Amino acid sequence: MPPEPSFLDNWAFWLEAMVASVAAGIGLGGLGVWVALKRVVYVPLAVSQVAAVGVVIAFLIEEFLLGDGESVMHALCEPSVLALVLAVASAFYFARPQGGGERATGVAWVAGGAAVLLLGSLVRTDIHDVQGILFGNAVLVERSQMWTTVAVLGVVAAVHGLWYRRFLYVSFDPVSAAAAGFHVYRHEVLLYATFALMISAATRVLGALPAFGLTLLPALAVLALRLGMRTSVALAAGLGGLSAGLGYYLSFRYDLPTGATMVAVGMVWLGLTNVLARVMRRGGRTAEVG
Amino acid sequence: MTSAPTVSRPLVHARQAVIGYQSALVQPFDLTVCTGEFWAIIGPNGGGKTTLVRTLIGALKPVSGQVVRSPANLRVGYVPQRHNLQRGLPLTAADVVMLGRTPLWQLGRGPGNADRDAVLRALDRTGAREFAEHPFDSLSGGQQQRALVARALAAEAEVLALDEPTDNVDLTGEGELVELIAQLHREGLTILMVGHDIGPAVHHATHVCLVDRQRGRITAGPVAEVFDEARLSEVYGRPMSIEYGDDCVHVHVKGGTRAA
Repeated sequence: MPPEPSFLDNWAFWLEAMVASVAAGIGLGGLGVWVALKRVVYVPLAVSQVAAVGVVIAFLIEEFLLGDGESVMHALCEPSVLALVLAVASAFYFARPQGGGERATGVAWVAGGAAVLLLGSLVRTDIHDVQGILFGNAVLVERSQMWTTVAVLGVVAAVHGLWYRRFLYVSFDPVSAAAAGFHVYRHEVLLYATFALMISAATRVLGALPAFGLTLLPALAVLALRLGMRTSVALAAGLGGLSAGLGYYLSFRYDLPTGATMVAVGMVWLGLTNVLARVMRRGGRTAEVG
Repeated sequence: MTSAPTVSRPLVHARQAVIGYQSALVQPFDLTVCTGEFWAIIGPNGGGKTTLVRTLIGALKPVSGQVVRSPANLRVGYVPQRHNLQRGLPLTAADVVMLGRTPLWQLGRGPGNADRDAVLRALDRTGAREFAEHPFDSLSGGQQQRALVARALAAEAEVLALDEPTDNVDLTGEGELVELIAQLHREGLTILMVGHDIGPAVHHATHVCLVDRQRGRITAGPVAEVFDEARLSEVYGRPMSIEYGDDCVHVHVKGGTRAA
């Protein structure tokens, strides 16, 4: 009997999924530090819901306006494209002074959910197909999805590389930033747009649970160590990528649900860093700050 | 009270300005802040002092009228009430001071040697060097205010605007902070200071701005012209008396206890 093929032997099967998952994990992990520090942890869930409305609208446009065919309009009204567009548009809502607050987030989540069901009842496509298009499972990822996720990570990294200092200033002290000449709302919109882009792209390849988990867990794990801002973002991005990659490998190796395994790996980091932080505090050591 | 430098130029000029967030808080007013002046902005709580100072420094647009800053890119350092700061960000006091340099950089640029030197100078000038590497959130109220003043200095601000800087600062810290602000004014910095404690706010001031929301009025001018018992009594709705000490100003509610 021939030996069972190893994980590496199956690279053609998992390559796209692994690359997309790690890219999503890196992006979500890094952004998660901002999400946690700005105390808007439920915004990612609401963004996913808003993106779902985009998918349903795409179905409606195709059925009632465009019909079958291939054109520029068809390409622009693809479910994935409209999901991304609506998610980014939601940044204008969440960036308002109270936009990221729990009430506004709750309203967005509920309104998004209701809109999906109401508009979904008008299309012939089953609502489960809509969910299937919006929420991936990280197991089967198309090459185009992989490149989309990598491109989104690149855009998000570039924006944060350029605007990092201004995001920090506007987040820490918006009034002073405004007095210094920065347009606070525009900066907040840009910051939230990076959240929305990364979350909707990641949800598409991983699913809602791991996308939420990878936003939250690596960031909270790193913040427990009380490191500086840049170090925290870099480390959380690393842990996010590692959680996604290791989670994918373990799920493949032991035949476990992929998204849940990624979340479980994230939980391990959270547990470890909390123990480490407690040991450091007991030992009287001051963690690096700065 | 200290005297302002003799040669001065207008920095902020409000022309028939109406302040407020969506609706008007007070009637249109004129006000000119010149270099080297120390403005104490006082009035009852909830009267619009914060709205006024934010409008003057350009963080808020006036509901109507004009607020002109000269030059247009006038550098203003603002020390907000601390509850307006986002808590929990992993920033040291030095990081906060460095944020003041951000407006001086082009997009994507980070701090260079000149920026680090400017931060160290600002920390030294405010006595904040000793806790520069401590997490900002772990500092006392007075230390946080010093770091925020240092941020304004690092920003090479021409105007330092402070919103109730002595709020929640202990007595020792309050005295030291007011003396620091007075010292910066003596060195030539223009000051706008909001204070609900009238005495400390007015003690070093050259000008006073009385915000009277109840009557929809702002009265502004040199201390000698504006700061008197009759006006204070009218604005606060209680009979007030002013007592000038050697190194302080006390304001009392007549027949009662000291108001500030």
